[in-house]
Amino acid sequence: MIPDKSNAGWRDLATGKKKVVTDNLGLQMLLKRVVSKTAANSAETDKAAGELHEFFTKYEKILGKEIAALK
Amino acid sequence: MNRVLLTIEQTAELIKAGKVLSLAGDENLLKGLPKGNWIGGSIPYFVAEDGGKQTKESVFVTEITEATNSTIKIQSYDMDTIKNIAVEAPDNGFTILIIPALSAMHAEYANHARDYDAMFMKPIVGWISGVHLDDLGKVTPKVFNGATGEVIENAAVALHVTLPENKLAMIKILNLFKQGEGDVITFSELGFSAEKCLVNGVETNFADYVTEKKLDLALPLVADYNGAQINTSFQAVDANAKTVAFYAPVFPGIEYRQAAPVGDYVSEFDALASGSHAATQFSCNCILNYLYGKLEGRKTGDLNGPMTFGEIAYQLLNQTLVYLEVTEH
Repeated sequence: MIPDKSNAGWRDLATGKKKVVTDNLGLQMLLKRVVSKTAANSAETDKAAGELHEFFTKYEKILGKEIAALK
Repeated sequence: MNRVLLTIEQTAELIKAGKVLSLAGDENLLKGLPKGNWIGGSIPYFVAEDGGKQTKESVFVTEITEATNSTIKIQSYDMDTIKNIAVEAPDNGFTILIIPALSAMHAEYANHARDYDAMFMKPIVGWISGVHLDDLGKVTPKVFNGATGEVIENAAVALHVTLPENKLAMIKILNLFKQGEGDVITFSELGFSAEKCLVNGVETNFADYVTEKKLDLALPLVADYNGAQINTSFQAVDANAKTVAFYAPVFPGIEYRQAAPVGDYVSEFDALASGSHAATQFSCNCILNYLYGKLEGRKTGDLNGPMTFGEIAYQLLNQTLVYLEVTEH
Protein backbone atom coordinates (compact mmCIF):
# COMPACT_ATOMS: atom_id res chain seq x y z
CA MET A 1 0.00 0.00 0.00
CA ILE A 2 1.40 3.38 -0.99
CA PRO A 3 1.61 6.00 1.78
CA ASP A 4 -0.97 8.74 1.41
CA LYS A 5 0.04 11.83 -0.56
CA SER A 6 0.03 13.84 2.70
CA ASN A 7 2.63 11.56 4.28
CA ALA A 8 5.77 13.55 5.16
CA GLY A 9 7.90 10.80 3.66
CA TRP A 10 7.17 12.09 0.16
CA ARG A 11 8.67 15.48 1.00
CA ASP A 12 11.67 13.72 2.51
CA LEU A 13 12.10 11.75 -0.71
CA ALA A 14 11.74 14.93 -2.78
CA THR A 15 14.47 16.71 -0.85
CA GLY A 16 16.83 13.74 -0.75
CA LYS A 17 16.54 13.47 3.01
CA LYS A 18 15.13 9.98 2.45
CA LYS A 19 16.66 7.70 -0.17
CA VAL A 20 15.20 4.74 -1.98
CA VAL A 21 17.18 2.11 -3.86
CA THR A 22 15.72 1.38 -7.28
CA ASP A 23 16.74 0.13 -10.70
CA ASN A 24 13.71 1.72 -12.37
CA LEU A 25 15.26 4.25 -14.76
CA GLY A 26 12.25 6.57 -14.79
CA LEU A 27 12.29 6.77 -10.99
CA GLN A 28 16.08 7.21 -10.87
CA MET A 29 15.83 10.17 -13.25
CA LEU A 30 12.73 11.66 -11.63
CA LEU A 31 14.40 11.58 -8.23
CA LYS A 32 17.49 13.26 -9.63
CA ARG A 33 15.46 16.06 -11.14
CA VAL A 34 13.24 16.71 -8.13
CA VAL A 35 16.08 16.62 -5.60
CA SER A 36 18.14 19.10 -7.62
CA LYS A 37 15.09 21.34 -8.10
CA THR A 38 14.16 21.33 -4.40
CA ALA A 39 17.78 21.96 -3.42
CA ALA A 40 17.75 25.07 -5.62
CA ASN A 41 14.28 26.16 -4.50
CA SER A 42 12.53 24.72 -1.47
CA ALA A 43 9.20 26.10 -2.73
CA GLU A 44 9.26 23.26 -5.28
CA THR A 45 9.08 20.59 -2.56
CA ASP A 46 5.31 20.09 -2.41
CA LYS A 47 5.02 19.83 -6.20
CA ALA A 48 7.93 17.41 -6.27
CA ALA A 49 6.41 15.29 -3.52
CA GLY A 50 3.21 15.14 -5.51
CA GLU A 51 5.06 14.00 -8.64
CA LEU A 52 6.74 11.22 -6.72
CA HIS A 53 3.45 10.07 -5.21
CA GLU A 54 1.91 10.07 -8.71
CA PHE A 55 4.80 8.00 -10.08
CA PHE A 56 4.60 5.43 -7.32
CA THR A 57 0.82 5.22 -7.72
CA LYS A 58 1.07 4.64 -11.46
CA TYR A 59 3.81 2.01 -11.17
CA GLU A 60 2.72 0.42 -7.89
CA LYS A 61 2.71 -3.05 -9.46
CA ILE A 62 6.42 -3.00 -10.24
CA LEU A 63 7.77 -0.94 -7.32
CA GLY A 64 7.15 -3.42 -4.52
CA LYS A 65 10.56 -3.29 -2.91
CA GLU A 66 10.72 0.50 -3.28
CA ILE A 67 7.29 0.89 -1.62
CA ALA A 68 8.29 -1.45 1.20
CA ALA A 69 11.38 0.67 1.78
CA LEU A 70 9.27 3.82 2.08
CA LYS A 71 7.54 2.55 5.19
CA MET B 1 13.82 -10.82 -34.92
CA ASN B 2 12.14 -7.45 -35.22
CA ARG B 3 15.28 -5.37 -35.81
CA VAL B 4 17.14 -6.04 -39.08
CA LEU B 5 18.84 -4.44 -42.06
CA LEU B 6 16.68 -4.70 -45.17
CA THR B 7 16.65 -3.42 -48.72
CA ILE B 8 14.44 -0.48 -49.64
CA GLU B 9 12.18 -2.87 -51.52
CA GLN B 10 11.77 -5.17 -48.50
CA THR B 11 11.08 -2.14 -46.30
CA ALA B 12 8.43 -0.85 -48.72
CA GLU B 13 6.69 -4.25 -48.64
CA LEU B 14 6.48 -4.13 -44.85
CA ILE B 15 5.03 -0.63 -45.02
CA LYS B 16 2.44 -1.72 -47.60
CA ALA B 17 1.57 -4.66 -45.36
CA GLY B 18 0.62 -2.15 -42.66
CA LYS B 19 3.44 -2.93 -40.26
CA VAL B 20 4.34 -0.32 -37.64
CA LEU B 21 7.98 0.58 -38.13
CA SER B 22 10.76 2.78 -36.86
CA LEU B 23 13.32 3.18 -39.63
CA ALA B 24 16.91 4.31 -39.84
CA GLY B 25 18.88 4.83 -43.03
CA ASP B 26 20.32 7.23 -45.53
CA GLU B 27 17.87 10.04 -46.30
CA ASN B 28 17.87 9.26 -50.00
CA LEU B 29 16.60 5.75 -49.20
CA LEU B 30 13.94 6.86 -46.74
CA LYS B 31 12.66 9.55 -49.13
CA GLY B 32 11.70 6.82 -51.58
CA LEU B 33 9.43 4.94 -49.19
CA PRO B 34 5.64 4.96 -49.42
CA LYS B 35 3.50 6.53 -46.74
CA GLY B 36 2.44 4.30 -43.90
CA ASN B 37 2.74 3.51 -40.23
CA TRP B 38 6.33 4.58 -39.81
CA ILE B 39 8.73 7.19 -38.55
CA GLY B 40 12.36 7.44 -39.54
CA GLY B 41 15.65 9.18 -39.16
CA SER B 42 18.78 9.55 -41.24
CA ILE B 43 21.91 7.66 -40.20
CA PRO B 44 24.27 5.23 -41.98
CA TYR B 45 25.74 3.44 -38.96
CA PHE B 46 24.22 0.31 -37.47
CA VAL B 47 24.88 -2.79 -35.42
CA ALA B 48 22.96 -5.57 -37.13
CA GLU B 49 22.98 -9.36 -37.38
CA ASP B 50 26.55 -9.44 -38.74
CA GLY B 51 27.80 -6.74 -36.40
CA GLY B 52 28.61 -3.10 -36.92
CA LYS B 53 28.13 -1.79 -40.43
CA GLN B 54 28.09 1.52 -42.21
CA THR B 55 25.99 1.64 -45.34
CA LYS B 56 23.83 3.99 -47.38
CA GLU B 57 22.30 1.02 -49.22
CA SER B 58 20.20 -0.60 -46.50
CA VAL B 59 17.48 0.44 -44.07
CA PHE B 60 17.56 -0.61 -40.45
CA VAL B 61 14.02 -1.69 -39.77
CA THR B 62 12.62 -1.90 -36.26
CA GLU B 63 9.20 -3.51 -36.41
CA ILE B 64 7.08 -2.52 -33.43
CA THR B 65 5.41 -5.88 -33.00
CA GLU B 66 3.36 -4.68 -30.01
CA ALA B 67 1.61 -2.09 -32.20
CA THR B 68 -1.06 -2.11 -34.87
CA ASN B 69 -2.56 0.60 -37.02
CA SER B 70 -5.30 1.15 -34.43
CA THR B 71 -3.02 1.49 -31.42
CA ILE B 72 -0.62 4.14 -32.70
CA LYS B 73 -0.46 7.84 -33.32
CA ILE B 74 2.30 9.40 -35.42
CA GLN B 75 2.89 13.03 -34.59
CA SER B 76 5.35 15.73 -35.60
CA TYR B 77 6.37 18.17 -32.88
CA ASP B 78 7.72 21.67 -33.40
CA MET B 79 9.42 24.03 -30.98
CA ASP B 80 6.06 25.17 -29.57
CA THR B 81 4.56 21.71 -29.06
CA ILE B 82 7.47 19.44 -28.09
CA LYS B 83 6.96 20.33 -24.45
CA ASN B 84 3.66 18.42 -24.61
CA ILE B 85 5.17 15.15 -25.71
CA ALA B 86 4.87 13.34 -22.40
CA VAL B 87 1.39 14.71 -21.72
CA GLU B 88 0.26 13.48 -25.16
CA ALA B 89 1.93 10.07 -24.79
CA PRO B 90 -0.46 7.22 -24.01
CA ASP B 91 -1.33 6.59 -20.38
CA ASN B 92 -0.13 3.02 -20.84
CA GLY B 93 2.31 2.56 -23.67
CA PHE B 94 5.47 4.09 -24.98
CA THR B 95 6.75 6.67 -27.41
CA ILE B 96 9.59 6.48 -29.91
CA LEU B 97 10.97 9.93 -30.66
CA ILE B 98 13.48 10.90 -33.34
CA ILE B 99 15.09 14.35 -33.46
CA PRO B 100 17.53 15.73 -36.07
CA ALA B 101 21.01 16.39 -34.75
CA LEU B 102 22.35 19.94 -34.78
CA SER B 103 18.83 21.40 -34.96
CA ALA B 104 17.23 23.88 -32.59
CA MET B 105 14.94 21.01 -31.59
CA HIS B 106 17.95 18.92 -30.57
CA ALA B 107 19.13 21.66 -28.22
CA GLU B 108 15.62 22.36 -26.91
CA TYR B 109 14.95 18.72 -26.05
CA ALA B 110 18.40 18.17 -24.56
CA ASN B 111 18.18 21.25 -22.37
CA HIS B 112 14.57 21.14 -21.26
CA ALA B 113 12.96 17.70 -21.70
CA ARG B 114 13.53 16.73 -18.09
CA ASP B 115 11.27 19.61 -17.07
CA TYR B 116 8.41 18.86 -19.48
CA ASP B 117 5.08 18.08 -17.83
CA ALA B 118 4.69 14.34 -17.13
CA MET B 119 8.26 13.56 -18.17
CA PHE B 120 9.40 10.27 -16.55
CA MET B 121 5.77 9.22 -16.04
CA LYS B 122 5.58 7.64 -19.51
CA PRO B 123 8.37 5.83 -21.36
CA ILE B 124 9.90 7.92 -24.13
CA VAL B 125 12.80 6.37 -26.05
CA GLY B 126 14.44 7.32 -29.28
CA TRP B 127 17.45 8.78 -30.94
CA ILE B 128 19.08 11.72 -32.60
CA SER B 129 19.36 11.30 -36.35
CA GLY B 130 22.62 12.09 -38.10
CA VAL B 131 24.66 11.74 -41.27
CA HIS B 132 27.78 10.01 -42.46
CA LEU B 133 30.70 11.69 -40.72
CA ASP B 134 32.17 12.57 -44.14
CA ASP B 135 28.94 14.50 -44.88
CA LEU B 136 29.01 16.66 -41.74
CA GLY B 137 28.53 20.26 -42.74
CA LYS B 138 27.33 19.29 -46.23
CA VAL B 139 24.11 17.41 -45.45
CA THR B 140 21.71 18.07 -42.58
CA PRO B 141 20.25 15.26 -40.48
CA LYS B 142 16.59 14.52 -41.18
CA VAL B 143 13.59 12.86 -39.57
CA PHE B 144 10.63 11.41 -41.42
CA ASN B 145 6.93 11.35 -40.66
CA GLY B 146 5.91 8.29 -42.63
CA ALA B 147 2.21 8.98 -42.12
CA THR B 148 2.33 12.35 -43.89
CA GLY B 149 5.40 11.88 -46.07
CA GLU B 150 7.14 14.90 -44.53
CA VAL B 151 10.93 15.06 -44.53
CA ILE B 152 11.90 17.31 -41.63
CA GLU B 153 15.13 18.92 -40.50
CA ASN B 154 13.86 21.24 -37.79
CA ALA B 155 11.22 19.29 -35.87
CA ALA B 156 10.78 15.95 -34.11
CA VAL B 157 8.68 12.94 -35.03
CA ALA B 158 7.05 10.64 -32.53
CA LEU B 159 5.37 7.27 -32.70
CA HIS B 160 3.01 6.91 -29.75
CA VAL B 161 2.02 3.29 -29.03
CA THR B 162 -0.83 2.36 -26.70
CA LEU B 163 -0.54 -0.96 -24.90
CA PRO B 164 -3.29 -3.08 -23.36
CA GLU B 165 -3.64 -2.99 -19.58
CA ASN B 166 -1.87 -6.29 -19.09
CA LYS B 167 1.35 -5.05 -20.71
CA LEU B 168 3.97 -2.57 -19.56
CA ALA B 169 6.84 -0.84 -21.36
CA MET B 170 10.12 -0.30 -19.55
CA ILE B 171 13.19 1.59 -20.65
CA LYS B 172 16.56 0.05 -19.86
CA ILE B 173 20.06 1.34 -20.47
CA LEU B 174 23.41 -0.37 -20.77
CA ASN B 175 26.28 1.95 -20.02
CA LEU B 176 29.88 0.78 -20.27
CA PHE B 177 30.96 3.73 -18.18
CA LYS B 178 30.90 4.29 -14.45
CA GLN B 179 32.06 7.27 -12.47
CA GLY B 180 35.78 7.10 -11.82
CA GLU B 181 37.48 8.00 -8.57
CA GLY B 182 38.71 11.40 -9.79
CA ASP B 183 37.69 14.99 -9.15
CA VAL B 184 34.11 16.06 -8.62
CA ILE B 185 33.17 18.60 -11.27
CA THR B 186 30.11 20.84 -11.19
CA PHE B 187 28.84 23.53 -13.49
CA SER B 188 26.81 26.59 -12.59
CA GLU B 189 25.17 26.94 -16.01
CA LEU B 190 23.16 24.63 -18.20
CA GLY B 191 24.58 24.16 -21.66
CA PHE B 192 26.31 22.17 -24.36
CA SER B 193 29.53 23.98 -23.59
CA ALA B 194 31.28 25.16 -20.47
CA GLU B 195 33.92 27.69 -19.62
CA LYS B 196 33.99 27.77 -15.83
CA CYS B 197 33.41 24.90 -13.48
CA LEU B 198 34.07 23.95 -9.90
CA VAL B 199 36.61 21.19 -9.42
CA ASN B 200 36.19 19.82 -5.91
CA GLY B 201 34.57 23.15 -5.08
CA VAL B 202 37.33 25.33 -6.54
CA GLU B 203 36.51 27.56 -9.53
CA THR B 204 38.53 26.53 -12.55
CA ASN B 205 38.51 27.03 -16.30
CA PHE B 206 37.33 23.68 -17.56
CA ALA B 207 39.34 23.75 -20.83
CA ASP B 208 42.52 24.41 -18.83
CA TYR B 209 41.63 21.58 -16.45
CA VAL B 210 41.00 19.10 -19.28
CA THR B 211 44.29 20.06 -20.96
CA GLU B 212 46.43 20.07 -17.82
CA LYS B 213 45.04 16.75 -16.64
CA LYS B 214 45.41 15.31 -20.15
CA LEU B 215 41.92 13.82 -19.88
CA ASP B 216 41.07 11.07 -22.36
CA LEU B 217 38.12 12.65 -24.17
CA ALA B 218 36.78 9.22 -25.15
CA LEU B 219 35.81 8.80 -21.50
CA PRO B 220 32.68 10.86 -20.79
CA LEU B 221 31.71 12.80 -17.72
CA VAL B 222 29.37 10.59 -15.69
CA ALA B 223 26.69 11.61 -13.21
CA ASP B 224 25.12 9.22 -10.73
CA TYR B 225 21.33 9.41 -10.99
CA ASN B 226 20.39 7.32 -7.96
CA GLY B 227 22.33 4.38 -9.29
CA ALA B 228 21.89 5.03 -13.02
CA GLN B 229 25.15 6.16 -14.60
CA ILE B 230 24.38 8.98 -17.04
CA ASN B 231 27.03 10.19 -19.51
CA THR B 232 27.87 13.53 -21.00
CA SER B 233 30.34 13.00 -23.84
CA PHE B 234 33.15 15.34 -24.77
CA GLN B 235 32.97 16.86 -28.24
CA ALA B 236 35.97 19.19 -28.36
CA VAL B 237 38.23 21.52 -26.42
CA ASP B 238 38.69 25.00 -27.84
CA ALA B 239 42.03 26.07 -26.42
CA ASN B 240 41.72 29.60 -27.84
CA ALA B 241 38.21 30.31 -26.55
CA LYS B 242 38.97 28.24 -23.44
CA THR B 243 35.71 26.35 -23.69
CA VAL B 244 34.77 22.69 -23.78
CA ALA B 245 31.91 21.44 -25.96
CA PHE B 246 29.81 18.38 -25.18
CA TYR B 247 27.34 16.18 -27.03
CA ALA B 248 24.71 16.72 -24.33
CA PRO B 249 24.25 19.59 -21.91
CA VAL B 250 25.74 19.72 -18.45
CA PHE B 251 23.25 20.67 -15.74
CA PRO B 252 23.80 22.77 -12.63
CA GLY B 253 23.30 20.93 -9.37
CA ILE B 254 24.71 17.67 -10.75
CA GLU B 255 28.07 16.25 -9.67
CA TYR B 256 30.13 14.82 -12.50
CA ARG B 257 33.26 12.69 -12.46
CA GLN B 258 35.05 11.49 -15.52
CA ALA B 259 34.39 7.83 -16.31
CA ALA B 260 36.82 5.14 -15.22
CA PRO B 261 38.64 3.52 -18.15
CA VAL B 262 36.97 0.57 -19.84
CA GLY B 263 38.46 -2.40 -21.63
CA ASP B 264 37.31 -3.85 -24.93
CA TYR B 265 33.89 -2.41 -25.77
CA VAL B 266 32.55 -5.64 -27.27
CA SER B 267 33.58 -7.75 -24.28
CA GLU B 268 32.12 -5.15 -21.94
CA PHE B 269 28.84 -4.93 -23.88
CA ASP B 270 28.66 -8.73 -24.02
CA ALA B 271 29.00 -8.88 -20.27
CA LEU B 272 26.26 -6.28 -19.79
CA ALA B 273 23.99 -7.53 -22.56
CA SER B 274 24.23 -11.24 -21.82
CA GLY B 275 21.20 -13.33 -22.53
CA SER B 276 18.26 -12.92 -24.82
CA HIS B 277 16.24 -9.76 -25.05
CA ALA B 278 13.21 -11.19 -26.78
CA ALA B 279 10.88 -8.59 -25.25
CA THR B 280 12.80 -5.71 -26.85
CA GLN B 281 10.76 -3.48 -29.13
CA PHE B 282 13.43 -0.86 -29.76
CA SER B 283 17.16 -0.48 -29.30
CA CYS B 284 19.82 2.04 -30.27
CA ASN B 285 23.41 2.85 -29.38
CA CYS B 286 25.85 5.70 -29.86
CA ILE B 287 28.08 6.55 -32.82
CA LEU B 288 30.85 7.26 -30.30
CA ASN B 289 30.66 3.67 -29.04
CA TYR B 290 30.78 2.54 -32.70
CA LEU B 291 33.93 4.59 -33.32
CA TYR B 292 35.81 4.31 -30.01
CA GLY B 293 34.79 0.67 -29.61
CA LYS B 294 35.74 -0.21 -33.20
CA LEU B 295 32.40 -1.97 -33.56
CA GLU B 296 32.53 -2.42 -37.35
CA GLY B 297 31.93 -6.14 -37.93
CA ARG B 298 31.42 -6.75 -34.20
CA LYS B 299 28.22 -7.30 -32.22
CA THR B 300 26.81 -6.04 -28.95
CA GLY B 301 24.82 -9.05 -27.78
CA ASP B 302 21.44 -9.22 -29.50
CA LEU B 303 20.62 -5.56 -29.00
CA ASN B 304 20.89 -4.43 -32.60
CA GLY B 305 19.99 -0.96 -33.76
CA PRO B 306 21.13 2.30 -35.31
CA MET B 307 24.29 3.92 -33.98
CA THR B 308 23.13 7.44 -33.41
CA PHE B 309 24.12 11.01 -32.73
CA GLY B 310 22.48 10.77 -29.30
CA GLU B 311 20.10 8.43 -27.52
CA ILE B 312 16.83 9.26 -25.83
CA ALA B 313 15.76 7.56 -22.62
CA TYR B 314 13.39 10.23 -21.38
CA GLN B 315 16.30 12.70 -21.58
CA LEU B 316 19.12 12.90 -24.08
CA LEU B 317 21.92 10.45 -23.29
CA ASN B 318 25.39 9.90 -24.75
CA GLN B 319 27.52 6.81 -25.30
CA THR B 320 24.73 4.57 -24.00
CA LEU B 321 22.82 1.59 -25.34
CA VAL B 322 19.13 2.26 -24.82
CA TYR B 323 16.42 -0.33 -25.24
CA LEU B 324 12.74 -0.69 -24.48
CA GLU B 325 11.03 -3.89 -23.43
CA VAL B 326 7.34 -4.71 -23.33
CA THR B 327 6.32 -7.40 -20.90
CA GLU B 328 3.11 -8.76 -19.41
CA HIS B 329 2.10 -7.76 -15.90
